[in-house]
Amino acid sequence: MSEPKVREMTPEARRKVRAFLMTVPALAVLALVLLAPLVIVVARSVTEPQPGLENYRWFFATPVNLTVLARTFKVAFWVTLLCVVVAYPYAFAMSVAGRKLRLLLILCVLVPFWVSGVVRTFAWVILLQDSGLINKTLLAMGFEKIRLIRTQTGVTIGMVQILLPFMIMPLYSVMRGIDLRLLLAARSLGARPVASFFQIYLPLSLPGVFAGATIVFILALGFYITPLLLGGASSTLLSTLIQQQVLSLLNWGHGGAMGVVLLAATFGGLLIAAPLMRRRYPVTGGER
Amino acid sequence: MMPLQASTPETATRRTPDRIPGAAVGIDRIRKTYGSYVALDDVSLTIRPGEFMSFLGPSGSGKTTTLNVIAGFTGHESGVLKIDGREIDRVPPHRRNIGVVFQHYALFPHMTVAENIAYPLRQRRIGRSERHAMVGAVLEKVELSALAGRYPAELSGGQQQRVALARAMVFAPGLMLLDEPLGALDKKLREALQLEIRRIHRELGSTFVFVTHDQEEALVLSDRIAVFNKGRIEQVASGEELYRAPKTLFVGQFIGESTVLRGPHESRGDETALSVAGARIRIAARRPDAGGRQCLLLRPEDLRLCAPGSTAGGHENVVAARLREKIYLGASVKYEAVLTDGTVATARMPASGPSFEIGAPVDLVWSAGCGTLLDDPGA
Repeated sequence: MSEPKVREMTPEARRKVRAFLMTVPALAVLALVLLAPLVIVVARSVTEPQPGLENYRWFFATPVNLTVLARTFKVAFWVTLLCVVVAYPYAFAMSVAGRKLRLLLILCVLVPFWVSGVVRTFAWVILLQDSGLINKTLLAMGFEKIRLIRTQTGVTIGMVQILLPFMIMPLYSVMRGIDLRLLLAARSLGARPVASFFQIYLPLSLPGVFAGATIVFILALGFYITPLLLGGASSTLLSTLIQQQVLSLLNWGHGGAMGVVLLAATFGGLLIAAPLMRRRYPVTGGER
Repeated sequence: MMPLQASTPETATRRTPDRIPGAAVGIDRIRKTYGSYVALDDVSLTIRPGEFMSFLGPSGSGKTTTLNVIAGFTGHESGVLKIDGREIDRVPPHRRNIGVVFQHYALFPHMTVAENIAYPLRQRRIGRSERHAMVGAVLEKVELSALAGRYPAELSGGQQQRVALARAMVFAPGLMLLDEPLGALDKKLREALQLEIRRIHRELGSTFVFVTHDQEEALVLSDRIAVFNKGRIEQVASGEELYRAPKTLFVGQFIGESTVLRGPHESRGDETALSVAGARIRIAARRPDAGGRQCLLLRPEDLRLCAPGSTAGGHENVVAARLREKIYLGASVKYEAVLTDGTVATARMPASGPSFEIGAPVDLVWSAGCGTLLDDPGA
């Protein structure tokens, strides 16, 4: 029965159907491992211990929750900003380097990436602790010790290092596509080197900045291990609070509500950022 | 911002609608190497104000490198570059005031056509209303007024090229550099744009330097052509002179079609004799200063095909050959004939004349006054 219908479809429509069919396995996995737990979390947040919005009322009525939520966004913001500042020149160097140097630069990004985040975080503990390498060096040079471990600074440093590849890679892929002759063209038209960067290169690389910043910001909001190991009581992030509620206090209602609030806040942030990420100019179809 | 050297806002505005005085370019023994590779080997050249000069040569011959040196994109190790008598070797590209049109247009994808063209004016701090008027005027000149609000990706290749041209000339530079600007376009569009570039050059009055590897394009456009080969300039002359009186075998073979005859030579009085494929050839030219091997370069229209033995010889040269190819070209027919020593000769005769069939033995005939005697760099 469906045979004649298929024949009526245009090749375009048939291609689309076929493309959709190819996404079915991925969609099935996502539904199973992402959507189902999410539904359960939302359900428990409004049903435990009794039906209603009591858990949400508790969340917004408890000052420490709000403080930690604000802190989580603040840390994510700083981590994202620092990642942009560190990754931008690095990705630029990667995009203009010769073959060998580029390979080396890519390896420097990827090799730490292949090491588990837990291991890297412990490495940071060794570096940052009061008797760690950084403080020993400072002392040896005659400076005073600075407190890094169990502070927000320490958490931020560790998170920047771990999240850096997520910023460098999207930036690099956008920068590789930028025709460097555009900069020569700008120079020949009267632009000083600095002007040619800010007027031509920077605007063309912004899509990469926004893509990387979005990934890093979202990952930073939910970061767990690094803030737990590098942070202290004064630098607890929301993920740690959620873990306490669920695993230590077995309060699934509170934990679920916190998770939903974090998710909603993340979506809110994305909604604000989305218009920034849209390219205002077409990029394809040059030769027609 | 530092003031740009040649056109302050006032002069640029005053100049735009009228003709621009073309800049003179002096290139004196410029040398550029990449490691052990010599890209430019003491290149010297004088370009006259208002002239249309083409740089012609195969890829890797140094023509684009020379252009980049003039634009300031590439540094050179030695030699002097002058524009209107002023040394500009140390002047950075943004202060040279040269309009550059790139091979792949290099339009800014995030700016509209009007914004692209206004870019050089903005760098020169020209006010908004003036800028608007100048962009409008140049858009009219390249017949793109209707597309001012479009983005480069929304334009065809030919339209993008015209925007690039408009952007390079809107600030009225005395010198325009065009790097194979038509290379990516199809033949028909290329020919239309060639005529447009010629018209713009005539109307504008500034000096144009045009890089191409297409000899036909160079012949259509140029007042003079500089033929590049292996980092050197072989000859600078008008197209006609390059065709009729090439100075080197490379130029003769690169421009137009040719037949090259080689053999032992000897000078006798005002003439030179060459032994080619068992025949003795007389050439009404002598190069007493030339040593080494000599060869004779003939153009297709110099050669005539005759039935074997039908010509007495006398004051004309006759060489036997066998016809290999016959190509009908409308007004004329092109023949390829192979001499007994393997040399391939190309002849072109009016289609209305006698016809010959492929495989037939023929006599190649030409007068002693035809052709050019050249040094043979060794085959």
